Amino acid sequence: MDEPLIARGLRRTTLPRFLLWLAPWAALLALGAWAIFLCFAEGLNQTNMDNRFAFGLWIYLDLTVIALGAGAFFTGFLLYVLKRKELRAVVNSAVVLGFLCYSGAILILMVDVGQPLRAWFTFWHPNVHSMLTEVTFCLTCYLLVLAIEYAPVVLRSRKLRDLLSLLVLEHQLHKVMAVFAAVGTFLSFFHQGSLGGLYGVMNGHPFSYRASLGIWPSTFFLFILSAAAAGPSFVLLTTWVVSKLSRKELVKPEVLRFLGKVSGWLLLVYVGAKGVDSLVWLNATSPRAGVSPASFYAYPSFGTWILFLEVVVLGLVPALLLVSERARARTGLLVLASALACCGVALNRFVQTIQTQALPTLPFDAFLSYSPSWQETAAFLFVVAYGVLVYSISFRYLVLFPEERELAKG
Amino acid sequence: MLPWNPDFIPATSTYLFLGAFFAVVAVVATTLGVAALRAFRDVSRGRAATVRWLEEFEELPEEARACRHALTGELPGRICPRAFACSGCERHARLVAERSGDPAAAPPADSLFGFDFPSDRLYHRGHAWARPEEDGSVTVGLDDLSSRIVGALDAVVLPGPGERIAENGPAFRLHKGSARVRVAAPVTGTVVETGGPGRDFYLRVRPDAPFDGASLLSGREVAAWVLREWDRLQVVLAGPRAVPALADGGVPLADLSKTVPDAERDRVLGEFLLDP
Repeated sequence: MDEPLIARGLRRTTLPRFLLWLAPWAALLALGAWAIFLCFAEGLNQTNMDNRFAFGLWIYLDLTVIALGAGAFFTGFLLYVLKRKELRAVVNSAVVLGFLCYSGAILILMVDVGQPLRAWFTFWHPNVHSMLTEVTFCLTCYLLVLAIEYAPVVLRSRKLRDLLSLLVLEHQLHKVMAVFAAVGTFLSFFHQGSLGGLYGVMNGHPFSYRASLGIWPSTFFLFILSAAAAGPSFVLLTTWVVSKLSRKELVKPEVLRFLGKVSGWLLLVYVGAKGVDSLVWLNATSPRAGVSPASFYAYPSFGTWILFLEVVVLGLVPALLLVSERARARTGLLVLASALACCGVALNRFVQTIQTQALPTLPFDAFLSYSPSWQETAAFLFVVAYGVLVYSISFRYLVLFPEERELAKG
Repeated sequence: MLPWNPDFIPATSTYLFLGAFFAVVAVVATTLGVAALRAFRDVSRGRAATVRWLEEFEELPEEARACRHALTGELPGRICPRAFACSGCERHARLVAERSGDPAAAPPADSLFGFDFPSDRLYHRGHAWARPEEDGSVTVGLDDLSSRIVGALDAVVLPGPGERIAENGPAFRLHKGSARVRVAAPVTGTVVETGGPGRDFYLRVRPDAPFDGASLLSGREVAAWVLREWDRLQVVLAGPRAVPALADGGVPLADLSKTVPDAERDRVLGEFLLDP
């Protein structure tokens, strides 16, 4: 029925089956839209956040998807700036993923701030000393860059390419893509860093406070490194998942292995830096602030196991697997290591956001627990459903993996 | 945010931060503007069809982008880097000059592997032919191999007299079952007459410049190309993981379209007529 819209040579499932796949996600989207409406209409009393637990599920989601979305800037940087041509096979998909991650993050941030109509205030009255101002400016600019990078993929679709003027615009945009890739890299470095810096400067929270390197706390650099490491793993993982779900070979195995290799080495550097940072923090920064490092892990929910899990199981282990050529050669291990790396960055953002606020900071404070309300959870799922829906539609009608046609021939 | 804003703080950090922000915005806006201006220039100079072909060429499979001299064995394995625009290609010019005294460069017979490929015309790699006429016009048609693959058409969409077509841009469109494909034009010019499947030609075109057909195949190249296309067609028809088989005698069917399942027709015709 919709064959004339599908790029020639791509084999896709029938329209009814595709709609059946979309249906549950659309239902989830509708539920999330209702929850978001409630938050806008009734206010943040719909959430379980309060004055002490000001960051909840939504900020955790933002930090995680922005870290995973780093695959877009890093793939673009490797392809257009460092000329790693083999990544042409995944760059379209990486751009779509990046766009979805960033647009989803901004959308949920709008709900969190609660006054979307006043969003422009942050640009008109910026507090230039705030990390969040830098984050807001960078996110907005980078979303614009991602939209520009996404546009050529859409303009090359089977129907739109008949509009010659748009196709010519796409051709010219493609020629200057290196500039957008470089700008995206610049912006990503700073907003990933500032998101980490945000926690590192909170000297009222000894758990997250870190010593500074220059004007930035160490978390500024750790967030950049961890996002750059997890981004390619996320692109690898999604490519593999889409390939399995669609039962099609989308890219050559070498491309996935290259992504794994890049991710692995960056992750290894990150784990090393994180290790040094943790030792300095536990042995110097915290004692200097009069806090015993043992107190950070004195509560049952967040024992030392969480640090071990984050740094060793979800950091060192996938890093060693991904840098090993023999492990990379086995698809199962490659995918497992990538999944562990993505979980590692998600856990790091969880620890930074949730554990930081849960731990008491004053003698009379108690350990605080937080669990999201259904509205928060539904809004979270809204972003997930939005991502799945837009990616599925893009996969069906756009060429996200240019090698797919050739690989289908065997 | 701006100096005339009441809460603007004139401090170094403000200038640094906003300077970086505006620099990024300026770079993005300028780059976008340059791309839009170039696109406008291309469209206004009538280069849109050329750009479209460049885009399409990039998407073609490697075997369809083979250099004409790779077909003849002069440059084995070479992929055309110029989207079949041979007139500016130095290697092509050198090889053609070397070839001129070669007795093997004689024109081939009109029948090739059971297909009619008259030697009075030049062939586009997308299976259109161009025949220069005595009055300076050029007639355009569909070669025998592709005519047999397409079979009886449901409809043909031809440009009307007075309309312009550009080399490698769409010359006309064919409708057959679920397939909608364009045939790439072998010449740039203005349509003066239309034909159709029942006639000897599809279009008669008055070329913009004297027709030289430099990018079209002729002479012994045609035989090598038809053989390669025949192999390619077997792979395209057989689907994934097929290899061309050795010919075992006989002649091709008069109507090869029956061998193409309707569900696959769009893909097969698109691939064969270089319409990705």
